Amino acid sequence: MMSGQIFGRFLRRCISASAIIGTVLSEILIFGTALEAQGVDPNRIKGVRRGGELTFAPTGPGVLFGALDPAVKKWYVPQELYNEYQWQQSEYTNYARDQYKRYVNTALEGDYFYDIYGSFITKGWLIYDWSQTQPEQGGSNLFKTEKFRNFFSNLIISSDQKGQHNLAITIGSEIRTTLTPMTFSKPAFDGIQVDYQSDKYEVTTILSRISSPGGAGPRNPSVNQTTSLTTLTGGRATAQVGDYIKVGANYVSAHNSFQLLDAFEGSPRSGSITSSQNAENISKLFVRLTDDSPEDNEGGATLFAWDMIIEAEIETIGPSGELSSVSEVVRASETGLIPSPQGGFQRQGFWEANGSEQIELVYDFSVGSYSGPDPSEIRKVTFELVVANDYRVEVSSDRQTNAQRNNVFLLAARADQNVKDGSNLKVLKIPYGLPTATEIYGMTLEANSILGFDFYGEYDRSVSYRKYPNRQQIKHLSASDEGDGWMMNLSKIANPWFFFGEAYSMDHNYNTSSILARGEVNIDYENRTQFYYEFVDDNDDQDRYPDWQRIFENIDLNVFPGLDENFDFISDFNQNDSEDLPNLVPDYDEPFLRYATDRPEYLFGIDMNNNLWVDRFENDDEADYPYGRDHRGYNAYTGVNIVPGMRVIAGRTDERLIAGAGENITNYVLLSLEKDFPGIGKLRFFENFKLSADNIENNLRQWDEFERRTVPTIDPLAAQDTWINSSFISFDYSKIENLKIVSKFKYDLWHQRKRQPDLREDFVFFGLINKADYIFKISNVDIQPKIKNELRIESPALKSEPERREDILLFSLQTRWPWLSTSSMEAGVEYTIFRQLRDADVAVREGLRDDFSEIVCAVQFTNATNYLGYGLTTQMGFRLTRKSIGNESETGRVAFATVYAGLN
Amino acid sequence: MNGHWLLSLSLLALFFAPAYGEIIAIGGGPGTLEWDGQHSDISVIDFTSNPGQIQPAQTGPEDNIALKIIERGGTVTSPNARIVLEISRSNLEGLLKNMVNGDSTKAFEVKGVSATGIIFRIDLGERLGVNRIRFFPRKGFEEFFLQGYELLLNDGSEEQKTLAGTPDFKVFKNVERNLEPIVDLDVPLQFVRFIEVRQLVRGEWEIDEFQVFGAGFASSASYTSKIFDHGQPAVFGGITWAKGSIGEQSKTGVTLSTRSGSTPDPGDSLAWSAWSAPYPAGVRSDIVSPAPRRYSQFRFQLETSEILSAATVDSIAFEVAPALADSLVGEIWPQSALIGQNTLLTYTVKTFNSRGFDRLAIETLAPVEIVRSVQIDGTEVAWEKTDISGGVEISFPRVTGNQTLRVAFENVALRYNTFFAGRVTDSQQPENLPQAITEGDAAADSLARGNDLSVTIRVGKDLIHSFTVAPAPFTPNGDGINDELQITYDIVNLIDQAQIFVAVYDLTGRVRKVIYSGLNSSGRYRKTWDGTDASGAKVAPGIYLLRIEIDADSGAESKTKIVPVAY
Repeated sequence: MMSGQIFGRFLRRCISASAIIGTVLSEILIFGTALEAQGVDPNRIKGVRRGGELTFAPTGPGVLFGALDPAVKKWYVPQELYNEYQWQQSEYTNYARDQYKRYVNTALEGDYFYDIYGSFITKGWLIYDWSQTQPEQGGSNLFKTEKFRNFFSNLIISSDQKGQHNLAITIGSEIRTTLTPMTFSKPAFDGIQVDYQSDKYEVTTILSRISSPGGAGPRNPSVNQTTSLTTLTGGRATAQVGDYIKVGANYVSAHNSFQLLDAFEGSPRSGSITSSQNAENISKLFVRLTDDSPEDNEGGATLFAWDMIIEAEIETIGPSGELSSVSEVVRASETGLIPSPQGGFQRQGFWEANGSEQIELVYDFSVGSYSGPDPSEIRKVTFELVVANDYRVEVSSDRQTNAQRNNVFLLAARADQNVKDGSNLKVLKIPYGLPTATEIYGMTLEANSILGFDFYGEYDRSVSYRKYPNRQQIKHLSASDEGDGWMMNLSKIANPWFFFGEAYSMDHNYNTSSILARGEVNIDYENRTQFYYEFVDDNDDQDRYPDWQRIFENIDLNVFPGLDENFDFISDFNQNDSEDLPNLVPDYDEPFLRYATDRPEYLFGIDMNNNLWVDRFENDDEADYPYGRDHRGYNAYTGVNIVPGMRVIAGRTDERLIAGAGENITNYVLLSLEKDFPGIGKLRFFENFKLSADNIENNLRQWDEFERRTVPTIDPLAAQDTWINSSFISFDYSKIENLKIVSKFKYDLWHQRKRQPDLREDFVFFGLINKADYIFKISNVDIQPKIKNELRIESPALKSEPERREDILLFSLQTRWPWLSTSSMEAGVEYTIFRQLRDADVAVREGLRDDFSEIVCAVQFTNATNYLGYGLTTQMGFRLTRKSIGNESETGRVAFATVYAGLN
Repeated sequence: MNGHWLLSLSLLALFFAPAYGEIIAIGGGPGTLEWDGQHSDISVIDFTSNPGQIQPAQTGPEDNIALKIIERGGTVTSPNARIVLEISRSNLEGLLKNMVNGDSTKAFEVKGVSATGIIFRIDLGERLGVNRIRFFPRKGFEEFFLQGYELLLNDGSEEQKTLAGTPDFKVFKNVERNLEPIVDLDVPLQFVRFIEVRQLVRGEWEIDEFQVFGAGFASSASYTSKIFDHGQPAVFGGITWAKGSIGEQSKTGVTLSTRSGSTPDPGDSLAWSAWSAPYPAGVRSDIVSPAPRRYSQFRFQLETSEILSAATVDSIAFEVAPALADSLVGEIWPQSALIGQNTLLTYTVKTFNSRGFDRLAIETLAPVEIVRSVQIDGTEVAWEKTDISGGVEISFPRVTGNQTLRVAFENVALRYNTFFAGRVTDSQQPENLPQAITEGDAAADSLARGNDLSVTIRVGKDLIHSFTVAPAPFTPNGDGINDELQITYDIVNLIDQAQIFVAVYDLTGRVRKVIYSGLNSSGRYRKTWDGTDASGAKVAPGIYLLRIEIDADSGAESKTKIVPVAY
């Protein structure tokens, strides 16, 4: 009987193609107690001895000689099943002498598990089980037990190795997984990763039920069984060809599945319409045309003609009563469905939408004049539009809505470039459907040391599938959009010369997002937080959490991109941040910490996109592709190492937006010098000179010192025709023991070659930081005075922003005196004076900070001791802050008692 | 500013010197209508600060702009007070409005409950410049002041919206321990649309008045004219208007649109057109709203992105005249043609209750060179053709009543939906305005099956079509035979102008003469070359290349012809 069930289960699973992988994996993912059959206590578990070995292989019920007693009454055969206590159901129970013993869970020490072939696996616990069964209500079952979280902290790794062949199966809730940065890269992938590696070959497969990956965290609602789901499959394989070339292939697919379909009725590429998508037939369709570059308020979308092609399958009853279906293709205009454009302006022979105007077409199957196929018979509709200029076409239907049931328009087409003269007239054919899958496939080529050149190239194509829903149909016709992305890097070092070149392109509709079918929940097509999954996350600070919020993923509360020069896995801009005690304020805005950490504006770095922010300090809201979406261009530079530590680079960037309007052409020279003076200190000098014509917006989300939070930071487009100079010099002086002096000077000058209405002729940033600290002892007391001066003279790029002439002077004194043997008392005072450098009788300009002085006093008791194998650090203390602005002052206080358990 | 009306008036006089029909002029000085008496809906419009002009209302330092919240379409709401106070929605609305009604006896009271965290939001209805906010309890109830609050602001712009489209409020003031019954906050002058106040301290409290003071101009304002009743179906001529500005002109904007209808109710979307595309200021433009219509209306929308700057409107004038017919419906056949190929087209116009006209002007992209016939009600009539700018004017016997006029002519389609605009005039009533022909079903026979006035072509990518030169050989020797090279080219598929360059090159690739360099849109163009080079000297006999280049937004295209020159 048992084998029959297992066999049936096996059959059911095997006929479902999409279930095969899940089935195999689910059965191997049972955590055993390493309880080999031979090692089992024979007194407790009997098993069957075969060939001298104790085995738990299934035998099936047999014919028991001792049970051949032809009596009618029940319970005449002793059974072992569930017979922990030798309990006979028919026996009288009297506990006077032998007192009753409570039931115990026989699985406390593990359960017995058999695989799909009926072979005994182990005694232990189920940890993880994912199975896909079709057709079955709730046929997708993903089960992560509490032991997955508690025993294994959401990560289990099965591995094997023989010779050069290595295998690992990693199942986790937060796996750092990257196939390539253009296809799949997540800091916290929740799923299964299977890796194989040998000397020449590497293969990775990833699997996940991304629509409900299983309850493994407080943010994750526990949905185990579901009928509608989204499954992610993907992988990458590479092969070393010869000594220098490595080729690779990438594939990622996230597709919606509907478990009530028979096996092979769905498609693992184009996905399936799910139950919530198919709850009702479409009765209204919408097309919206807008200006793709509304900021110029001209040359927007022009619409010359419009129609819709309806493909239907009409059932007819023949003369003898037989049912047959006939395919029919009609134009909406032939069925009385000719919508009048709403919005926009009518010109001679066409309609036009400029700026914020929009043209909307509504195809309503319920209007009386419509004489075409019934909505229940429609299999596919295709919008046909004759358009020109800078159009943006979005489509919707009454089944494509948000949580409030309002229409959500999804992008269907955009014009290339910002055409205004109609010279790009074309016929757009847009099949309508609800999103069902996203697929990416591509290849890579890597060559090393060929004629001294290193090369990396990647090409990927994303395919976004959609299907037209119809309740009366099982199979739905699909349509797709393709977007391409490619990149090439070429470099060579021939000392003292070196060269680097990169070319890249990514279409605006290159897509690494997928809509999630979360069970029977209506999909909210505009809610990216709850219903979108990202193959490539935004993670500018490259930590373990993505910077944006997506369902089933933890979010990064603070994003401070930059280096981690002290290798503590924390951004150097926010050193006092920790997992348990998040700190959302950068160190340069915090007492005491601001001595060591300087604002990013005072630091030097490369700003290739000319948005006034050093690229490596940027926090944007985009997926972390190596190159921006909708960008195409190249960058190349060559340089020479003049002497060790000194080099000169000259290069050119030429990129443009493919569908949007904008280009960036920048020629640049970079001189860098870094020299150690042994026993004295280190000198750094950088000089970057650019001629730039850049009108591509690169907006960010950066920390705002006034609002004290990250805020949208608009690119002022300050380099549209501009000479740019950025100079930086710093010196770290360390000759005198315990004395450290650091000086940094940065000077930026952006000169507009032509008058720009909103920009100053010259953007100037003059930043100077001088700081010094010294540690000395008096008796056993450590004393550390610090002084820091920060001077900022800035004439911002935008005329609307006031000029800044600010000076911050900071004095700090920290003392530490030991107390007993492992305790110490620390006291510190920090005094800050902020002044606007202006005449005394001139008021502070609007938008600038008032002069202020601030004194911060902190006292802290620290005890370090060992406890239960941990190094405990206990700190208690308080901090008082008094800030005076004019005649007003504010006083703040923080008191704390904190204990850290260290491993050192 | 005072001399503005003189300028406006002279502008109007200039633009309408050859005008026909009645001129309706508003603003701009004596003899024109007053702005204040000609509007239906206005939003924050000021008529008085600069008489004769309109501009956005300016907030004075003593103006409590909260008092007109409801009038401006704003609201006072609370997402959570109803549950705390256990009152109905309508009662809550009434209570909340007590804060902005100017009545010192009524207040928004939170009494009898001990709650905290009550939020109320104020939508000012417009983005207004705000520099001060006050709120306080009623006299005699001073002990019930808000003892801790957080005040948040939002300027109502797209940039300050969340992904869900709701205001993304910024904390302006957080007072956890408030000791002042009268809260009086100075706010750096800024645009504010939404204000949110959160109660931070538990207790009973009330707000008698929530006052908002400011300065500068509203970020947007609008003036919608009354509905002009022309007494009978009318046609519209030109429209012109003059604008000005206060403060930084580059930060302000104003647009003018028109619409027309056949009933007095503009809410009847079947009888009224949509608002037209904006008309440029300072030049005369033809009114594009459908005609003939008995009713018409115009609308100004004024915007500023800088609080202390504003756009102003000085004057507007437009021409109206009685229609020549109740309706003129036209269509063209065939509705598709081969690009650039001469096609026999039939232009059919059906008149309804025509008072009489005898001229039909047809305007399109290429010159109309050949007119085959003119029929009235199926009968061929005598006609005359006159070339006009952008088309042809055909005169014929007077058409009156309900008749069908049909003109057969040859022309080319040079872009998708090449439009053949038609308008009729009556030589016996020269004071009347031309009446445009509207697209529609003019006849039900085989020569009029389309219901519109445009001819489509196959969608293609070519921009230069039919580039021809003649004669060959070209002999510019002054003998009167083949002395000029005729160059003809069709620019197709453009709806705006692009840069065109036509030049003669020698075989070394050197430019010998630039024939034409300028902007062209779709159309048929003719140029000539007399065989001279850039210096005016005759070129030597030999083979030359004639090249046409177009630099369109989507890319460049060129065509080249070989030109043998002999003497």
